[in-house]
Amino acid sequence: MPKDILKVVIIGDGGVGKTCLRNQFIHKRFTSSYKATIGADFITKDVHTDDGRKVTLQLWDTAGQERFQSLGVSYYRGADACCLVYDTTNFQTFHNLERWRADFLKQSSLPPDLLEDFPLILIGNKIDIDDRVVSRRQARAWAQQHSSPRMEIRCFEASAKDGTNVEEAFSCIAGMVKIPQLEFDMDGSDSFHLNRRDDSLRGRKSCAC
Amino acid sequence: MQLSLSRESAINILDNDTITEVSEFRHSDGLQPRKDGRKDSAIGMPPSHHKHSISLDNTREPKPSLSTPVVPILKRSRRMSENSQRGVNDSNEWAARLTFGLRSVKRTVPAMYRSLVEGFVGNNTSDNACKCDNFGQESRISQGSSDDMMDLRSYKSNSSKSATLNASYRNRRVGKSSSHIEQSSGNELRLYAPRPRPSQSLTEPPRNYSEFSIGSDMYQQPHPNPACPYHLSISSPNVASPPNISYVPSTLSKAKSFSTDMESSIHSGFRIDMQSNITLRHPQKPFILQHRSEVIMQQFCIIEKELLERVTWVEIVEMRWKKTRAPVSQRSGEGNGSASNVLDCNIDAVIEWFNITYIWVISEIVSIHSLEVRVQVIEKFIRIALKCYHHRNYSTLLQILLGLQSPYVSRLNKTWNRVDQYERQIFERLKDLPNPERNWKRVRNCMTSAVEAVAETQAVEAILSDDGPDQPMFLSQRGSIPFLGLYLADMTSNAEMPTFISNSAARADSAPSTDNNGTHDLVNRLAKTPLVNYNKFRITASVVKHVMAFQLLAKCYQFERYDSVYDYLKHMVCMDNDDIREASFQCEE
Repeated sequence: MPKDILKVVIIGDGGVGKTCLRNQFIHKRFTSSYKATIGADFITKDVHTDDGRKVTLQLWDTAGQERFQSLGVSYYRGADACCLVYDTTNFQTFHNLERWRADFLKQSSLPPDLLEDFPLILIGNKIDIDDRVVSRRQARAWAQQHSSPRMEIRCFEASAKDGTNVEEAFSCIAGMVKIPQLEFDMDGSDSFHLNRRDDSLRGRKSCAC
Repeated sequence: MQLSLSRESAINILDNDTITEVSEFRHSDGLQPRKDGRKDSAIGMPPSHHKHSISLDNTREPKPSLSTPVVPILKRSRRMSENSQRGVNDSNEWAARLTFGLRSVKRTVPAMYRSLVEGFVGNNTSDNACKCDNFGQESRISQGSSDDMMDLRSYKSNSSKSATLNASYRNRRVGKSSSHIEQSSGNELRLYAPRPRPSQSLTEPPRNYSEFSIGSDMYQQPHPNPACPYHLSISSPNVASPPNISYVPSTLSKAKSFSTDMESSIHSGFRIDMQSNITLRHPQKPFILQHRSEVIMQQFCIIEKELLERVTWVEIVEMRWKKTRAPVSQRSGEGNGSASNVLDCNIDAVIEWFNITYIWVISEIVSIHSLEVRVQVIEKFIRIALKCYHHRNYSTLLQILLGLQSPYVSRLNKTWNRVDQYERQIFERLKDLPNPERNWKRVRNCMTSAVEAVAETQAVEAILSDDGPDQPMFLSQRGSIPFLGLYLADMTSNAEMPTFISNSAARADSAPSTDNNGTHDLVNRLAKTPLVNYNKFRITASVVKHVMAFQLLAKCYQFERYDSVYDYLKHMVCMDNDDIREASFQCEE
């Protein structure tokens, strides 16, 4: 069984708890690691998807560099999926999702026909705090609005602090990336995925020179 | 020589004086001949001569372009050797020994040629000359690049240091009068010969440069500030005057520099006639090509230094840059709402500057409609990036590299295909620097090695006591500017660490020692009080120390400020995202 590495980029405003979410998912705990690991960049974790395949999620986090708009290019390149994170207690962070999504799709150097169907999920963090200003309905409406027929944006409300829904959200995104691949596998050309990558690689090469 | 009517031929003729130099270099090892022939000399050397040249690894031969002249060719050769200071070595050490050899003449002279040839088009020829000359003198003082000096001085004084060099310099000097241009440089420059200037008084209101700026009509909107001399394109007034840079030099100085420019252009007898078809292909030279990379790099260093100096350790520890959250729209340079947002955090200013420069790099490239000029601009940016690398200005370096790799620039395949191999090699080696993989390993290594030279404790003392680099121990240091984002990321991930370690952890850790001596009491007490996560604060401290060490290193730059360049860069005008997109698609479908 092929082991896939999926690059998942976690984006959203500063302070919405992206790093927390990631740590919670990886370590199953809320900031309990006291070992200083400056030098770890993306962290990987193996996930079993619903259809029983094992994939490795590589979570990229723009910790502290959200406002460096220019860094998007280097973070987003080659991403397989994207987590949009907002803070349920801060409406501005929800409002900015629109911008983040546009930024991401623009800078990820994806072929235009894939943009619509690019796997995205929406995570509202900090539901452990009793100060919610973004309702579940609003989030769902947003997701609905940006979903395409082939790709539905799933909404999660999670808490990085107590771990609610974190696992579910990331497993979900692992499952989402699988879908197009399975379809193409059925076509009998299991090299399609490679081709797609190849395309993006080629695009990269031409960027460089 | 007379056959080719292209613009290259003009350069070729002016390039004649480098023939000796080139042939000399051809015999040195590892030459990397130019394949596209844009700067080929008309004096023939069979192409087979290049076969013995050794390609550097990582080098792809560019496809020969269709426009390559089939004339027998003496290639202008450039190379990037491991030892060359122009190479991108992992260690920065080489730059300490600034021994510019003849190679640097080879490098600097074509650049000057190019800029001077275009100087005929623009009206800043004499300006350039002065600047170059100033620079030459300065560079000698600061870096001992005596070869530069030689070129430039000989240009100015027509001294007979190098007969060949002089010949063409003289041509160029004489070329300021129109008739000589026709004679001396043949076919092409004639096209740029000025009309006799109508009697126009010096008090004429300054023409807005945007009139004869880059390319299409699209960007020729009125400038909000007519005094601004170098106005290329306008996005929105908010962007035009970045609010985050609070210490704004007065517009007076800009106006002044403009009037000097005007005068010099008048004295040199040039007038750009936008109505005539012949100049359409080469309108006013883009700002970036008007000045030497070294000068531009230095001004960037000065600006970055000023921004960095204001960052205080308190901001870093308190992570203030996350608290003053600007609307996202501002991030993208679209400018709405930015005016109302007061940046009380100096780190924010650094970040904003980073983004603005990034967008500026993109705008400078995509706003140019002539393929040829665009290629030159990209090459220029790559050379500036290399200079930044050598002078360890990692902030500007990353801004430029990211700009060059942005979707709207990297999609310009035709342009990139024509970029000189020399610049491409540099770019190939530099482009991975802004790669966040392995926690920014490459940049981090560079930055760490820069800081290691400074005794951190002393640096902290020096910064906190405002002593600065006057102390003898810092005098020998080379300057450096960090990419601050790295430390911000460190701080953010470090903040996720717990401040206190829970009791259970403490107990588990100390469990083995309970058996010893009479420490029971102590252990019990420890188990009740949480432990401070010392490591977290140690990392915070080390980040602060690093930033301070860089603040000190930044002060070690001994660069002179050139107001015209500095002011332009300080108030650089960017397009907004939509315009960039549109312009990029206008450049190449």
